Amino acid sequence: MRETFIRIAGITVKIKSHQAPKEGEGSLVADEHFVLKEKPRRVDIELDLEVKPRYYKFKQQLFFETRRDPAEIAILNYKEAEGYLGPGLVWRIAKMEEGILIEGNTLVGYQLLVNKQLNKGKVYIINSNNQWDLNCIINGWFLNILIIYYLSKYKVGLMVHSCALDDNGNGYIFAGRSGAGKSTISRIWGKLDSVRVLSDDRVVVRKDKGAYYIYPTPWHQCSTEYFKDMPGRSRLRKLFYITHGKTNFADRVGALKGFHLFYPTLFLPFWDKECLDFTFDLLLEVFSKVPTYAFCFKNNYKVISYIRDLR
Amino acid sequence: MNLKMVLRRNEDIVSRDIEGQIIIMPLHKSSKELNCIYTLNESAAAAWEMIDGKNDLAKIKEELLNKFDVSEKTIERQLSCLVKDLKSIKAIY
Repeated sequence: MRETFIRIAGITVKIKSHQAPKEGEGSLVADEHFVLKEKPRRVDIELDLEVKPRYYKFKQQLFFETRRDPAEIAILNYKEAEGYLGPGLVWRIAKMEEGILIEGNTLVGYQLLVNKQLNKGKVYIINSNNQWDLNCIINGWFLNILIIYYLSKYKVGLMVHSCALDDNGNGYIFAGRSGAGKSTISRIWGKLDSVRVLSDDRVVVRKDKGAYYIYPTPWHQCSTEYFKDMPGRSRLRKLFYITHGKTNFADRVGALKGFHLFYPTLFLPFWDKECLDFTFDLLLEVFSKVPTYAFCFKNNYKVISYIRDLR
Repeated sequence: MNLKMVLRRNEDIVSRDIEGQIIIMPLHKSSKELNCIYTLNESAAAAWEMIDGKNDLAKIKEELLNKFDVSEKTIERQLSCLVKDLKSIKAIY
């Protein structure tokens, strides 16, 4: 029996499998930072993993799904999974008699059947070669979706589409739409010795003893050039919604504008009212405690002193 | 518009009063519906607060007339549009 422990944003996941993972392939940048070397004292989520050649057909009641555009489906080949999942399904979450089902086809096919408490379940990796590796776990979407759901279910945090960094103990989040400059910001700051880039794409915000902390996640764009070491959490000091511009200009915003700016950057449990309620409350709480800015920036090093000097 | 109609809010709607503006968001079933949040203006927010399964539209109209300096005809038209919009996103029934 093989046991693998992954910790993301303080949530420890145990993956148990009879089949050893295939080694030496498929590990993307920084993945290994999230795999624990030693058995932890506490486990939050336990998953039994099994590889099988085909999807099980589960009777389910759909909560939420995301599908590719027909044009994208025409270019890419998803025929293998289409029969059961339907055209272009990326992932879906559904209610079942015995719990929650998360299934999809991204990088690998997968089906995660987890109990209602989201802390125990079975994951099936769909692979006719009877193999799995860490990449299947971390970059197959199910773990990402499970963490998003778990954070709100247990009222501990939320996930934002953003880059984040730690500058001498000061944590900054730079959220924005795709192409807004998250990787650019990461590249500029990542060259400083005193800065740790936590992620260039997705981070978790959690509250702990009245303060808010940013946690890295393994879900990022790349890049080896600015990930330096095992990134721990960082205390959140400023929040930015970024756009490219001709000069650096930060406009401090209140809760209402902040909500409208940041709402599209949140990874939300759209299917669960209680979880949505919690996520919005936490977001509004963060806005009330942490300075939040609409930030237009120019791609050069002056952005660093501009951010540091903001009061 | 039938002013005797009594409407209630869908319990699967998340709403927040942020700096005096009401924001409402229905639960979503598909990524195609994402980014659908709705902000209610002041009079719509006042009407929203009164939609509770007890007040009929006549009472809501009367309250709005007392609160806002607009004609009865305007209030009635705005209320009718609001009810139609909120029904279309399944925020009320």
